[in-house]
Amino acid sequence: MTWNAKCKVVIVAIVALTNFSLLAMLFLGTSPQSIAGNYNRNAAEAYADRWTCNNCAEPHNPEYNYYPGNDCTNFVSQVLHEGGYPYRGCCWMFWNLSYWYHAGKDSYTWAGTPHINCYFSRYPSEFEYKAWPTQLSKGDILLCDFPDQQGNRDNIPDHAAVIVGYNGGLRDQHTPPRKRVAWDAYMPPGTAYWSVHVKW
Amino acid sequence: MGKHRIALLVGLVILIAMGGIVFLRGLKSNGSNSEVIAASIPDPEEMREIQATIVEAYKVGYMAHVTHDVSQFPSVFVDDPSVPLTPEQKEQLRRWLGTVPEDAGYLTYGIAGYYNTERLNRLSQEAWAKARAAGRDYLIPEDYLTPDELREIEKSGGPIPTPPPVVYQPSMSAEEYVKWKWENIRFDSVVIKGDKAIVIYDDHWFLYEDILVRRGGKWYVAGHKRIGVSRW
Repeated sequence: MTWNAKCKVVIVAIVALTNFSLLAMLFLGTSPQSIAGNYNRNAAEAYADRWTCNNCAEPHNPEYNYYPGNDCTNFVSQVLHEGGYPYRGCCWMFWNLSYWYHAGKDSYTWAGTPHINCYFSRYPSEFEYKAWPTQLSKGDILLCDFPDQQGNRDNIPDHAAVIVGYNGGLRDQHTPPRKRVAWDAYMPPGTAYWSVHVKW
Repeated sequence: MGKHRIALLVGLVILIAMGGIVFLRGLKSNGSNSEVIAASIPDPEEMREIQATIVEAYKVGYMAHVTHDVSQFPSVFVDDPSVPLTPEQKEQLRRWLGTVPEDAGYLTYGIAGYYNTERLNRLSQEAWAKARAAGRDYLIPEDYLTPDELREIEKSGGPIPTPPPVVYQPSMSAEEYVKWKWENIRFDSVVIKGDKAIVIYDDHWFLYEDILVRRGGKWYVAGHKRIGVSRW
């Protein structure tokens, strides 16, 4: 076999292996192993309080992307990350629901409410669905499915917020901005909740 | 009488005649001017009636899931051919019914959504009941997936679907709900055009646009959509 032919075989093998890995990750949702750490709830809360407010123009940290009119989950993700929860995956698989990261183009799970819920459910050793929002601690996440005018819901979350306060009875959020309001303030009767406890 | 006075009188007559023509043409133009007038100076009583219809619509929607009875929907919602469903609402309806009936409007959409919501509520309550029976205050996939579904997911290597949310048993009475709704709704604008009204309001979360139609002297909600985020 000539040198050129050998090179071609090696290149073809590398390309095939790379494509195989990509396809496997794409279709099987393969992801890095579960990560373990020590979530800093005080840091998460401090960040949440720093970057929201009441009756104001929504503040946003220029180090992250901003989604005017649709920023609730992006805000929650920032809080999680500032609490020390690390990115998972990066940069070219933004649609993969097993990844979670901020980049020029954020992962869907970073800024999309239904998507972050999918992400949480994929890592039960890091996130736990509690029965009631009152069981949450500061730095935990509240996802809400609001009833519409006709009282109907679809089990897809419409909104995400961060629990704050000594007993976890308050919430901070974006879109619209709210700071340290009661966790159930303005919640329409009939709202359904995913109370996500960060175990990481 | 001088020539000047005669000329003035003739001019006055011509002006009055022209004004009369313009007025009569306005009346004959099937209300386009009256629409503008109604849109700019709405009758306060009519406005209040329209606002009350929207609050009543929310109450009927809420109470349907308290009483498990959807029979009151036609008293506030209506299918109106001039107010089509949004593409998203049509897509939802297709998912629930397998098809979109030709004359489907907001009433049909609401009734189909009611049965879907009741089904979701049941699944959620069953899952949480299983968790509680096992002494847990959190859900595991075995609570909300059947053994067959779990086996299928394991076989395919697919991810576990998200768990159902917690649904609170509604506890407000109809009167309490109406009071709560009036306190948590801010009407931004009401524009009445004949037998149709377009209302924009804010509920602390979103901005909505409702379209109401008047039938037999009564207002009904014929369309509803989110158009933005709360500015309240």
